[in-house]
Amino acid sequence: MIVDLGEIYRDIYVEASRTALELSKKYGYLPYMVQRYIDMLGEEEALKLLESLEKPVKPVVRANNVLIEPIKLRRRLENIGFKLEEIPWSPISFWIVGAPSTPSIGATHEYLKGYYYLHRDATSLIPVELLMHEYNGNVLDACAAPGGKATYIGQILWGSNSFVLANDLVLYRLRALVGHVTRMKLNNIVVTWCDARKLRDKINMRFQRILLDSPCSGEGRISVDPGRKTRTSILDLAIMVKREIELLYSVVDLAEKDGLIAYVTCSIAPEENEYVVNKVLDRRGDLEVVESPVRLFKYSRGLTQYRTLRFRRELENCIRIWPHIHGLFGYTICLLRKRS
Amino acid sequence: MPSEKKKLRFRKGVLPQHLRRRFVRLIIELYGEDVVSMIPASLRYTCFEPGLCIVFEGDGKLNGSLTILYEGPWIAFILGKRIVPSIPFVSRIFREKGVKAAVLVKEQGIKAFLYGNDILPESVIKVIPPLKGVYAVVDPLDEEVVGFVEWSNIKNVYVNIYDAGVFLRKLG
Repeated sequence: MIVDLGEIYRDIYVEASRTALELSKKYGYLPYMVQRYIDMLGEEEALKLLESLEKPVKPVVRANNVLIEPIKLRRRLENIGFKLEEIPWSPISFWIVGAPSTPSIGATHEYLKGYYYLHRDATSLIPVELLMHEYNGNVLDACAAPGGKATYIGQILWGSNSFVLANDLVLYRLRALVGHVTRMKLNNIVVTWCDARKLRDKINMRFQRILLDSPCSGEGRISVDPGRKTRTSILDLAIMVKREIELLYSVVDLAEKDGLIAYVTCSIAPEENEYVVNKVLDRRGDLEVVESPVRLFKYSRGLTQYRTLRFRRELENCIRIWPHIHGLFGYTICLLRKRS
Repeated sequence: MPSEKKKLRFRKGVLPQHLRRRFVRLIIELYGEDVVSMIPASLRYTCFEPGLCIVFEGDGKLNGSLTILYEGPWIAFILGKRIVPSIPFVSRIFREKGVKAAVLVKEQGIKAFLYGNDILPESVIKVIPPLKGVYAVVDPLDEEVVGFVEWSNIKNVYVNIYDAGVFLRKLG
C-alpha cells in the first residue's frame, strides 16, 4: 500500500498559538504538541492534562497465575514490605502503592521465579482484557516486545491448545521478550522476528484475534519518560503515522473473517489513532470499528473531529484513556472487526 | 561507532548432533535412562550472545518462512561450551520421575544464589543422589528448581552454573 508522507504531513501540520508557546515553555514541550492538546481539549482541560503528565503513575504487578495464585503472591510481596492494592477490573493484578527500600520490585525472588510481570502502569492490561473477552483461540501479537501483553495472553490461553505468536522487529527488545517468556515458564508463546508489515507474506496462518500495539510516539507515557516532550517533531510524527497506517493495513490481511483486531497505541495523539484508523477504513472495505465487548471502567470515547479533520462516526467506538481523567498513561484502543 | 543495540546478532538453528549427544549423556548420568524419552526429537537453539543460547523444542506450530527465535517448551541452556538442562525441563522430570541429583538449600543460600552467587556447603540442607557433581538447586519454600550448581573441590563450594536470575541479568 502506498501512503503519501507529504499528504500526512500536510494533514497533521499544526501552527502553535501564543498560549501554546507559553505553556510549552513552562512545561518543556514542543509547541505543536501543546497546541494539539488545546485543540482537542480546550485550554482549561489541556492544562489539567499537562499537570497530570507531571505526576507519577502507579506501577502494576500482574500475577503469573500459571505458577502462583494472585492472593498468595500478594501475601508474599506484602511480607517483604510492598503495599499492594487490588485493581477492580483485573483480578490477577495489583497496583504497587508502597515499597521497601530494598529489594526493588523488579529484583525480588518472586520476580526471578517468574511469579509476576511488572507493568509501568495498568493501561497495558486493558487491550488484552478486551481482545480476549470470552475467547481462547490463537492470537497474533504483531509488535509484541518486551512482552507484557503477550505473556498476559499466554496466561489466559494456558491449558488450551492455543498459542500466542509474539512477533517483533527490534532484536534487543526481542531478547527481553524471550527472557520474560522463559522466566515465566509460558510454553504457549512462539517468538518471531519480522517486520509486522511483511508478516502476511511469511505465514499461511490467519487469526481470530490480533493485537497491534504499534510503535508510536509514546506521548501517553510522558510521566515516566519526560524526554518524549521534545523527541518527536511534526515530521517525525508524520513518519510514524505513515508506518502506523502501513502496519494496520497489512495486519488486517492476517485476520480471519469476523476476526477482531485491537489497534493500540500508548499515545493520545489523534494523528496516531483516529487518523490512522480512518485512513485504513477509507482504503479497505472490509473493516468496521466495534464497541468494546466489556466495560472495565468509564472510558472516554474516540474523536470524530480534530481541527479541520473529520473522522467517521464509528471512530467514537474507540477507547481513549486520558491521564488527567483516568489517572493512567494516555492510551488509545480501537477494536476493529474484519467483515465477512 | 554503532550502538550496542545495533550490533546485536542472533545465531539460530537446529541443535548440532554432538551437543545433542552431550545433553543426552548428561541427562542419563543425572536422571537415568528412562527419562531420555522426554527429550524432544527436534531441538533448536537461539544464541542471544556468544555462549548464551536457549535450546527449545520447536514443534513446528508455524509453517512458512518466518524467523522463529523461541518456541516453547524450553529444554536446555548452552552456557559457554556447556549444555545444561532448563529449569522447567528438570522440574518436569522431578514431577514425573522423582527428585534426583539435587541440593535442597536454606533460604539465605537461595537468596544469594538467585543473585548469581555460589552456594556454601553449610547452606545445603540435603543432597539428593546421584552424586555426579552437577545438581539442581531446589528451594524448599516452593519446592521449585531455581538453577544448577557444580561442586568444586578447589573452591569447596557449589559453583553457580546458572540460576533463575539469569534472565534479568543476561536478557534484560
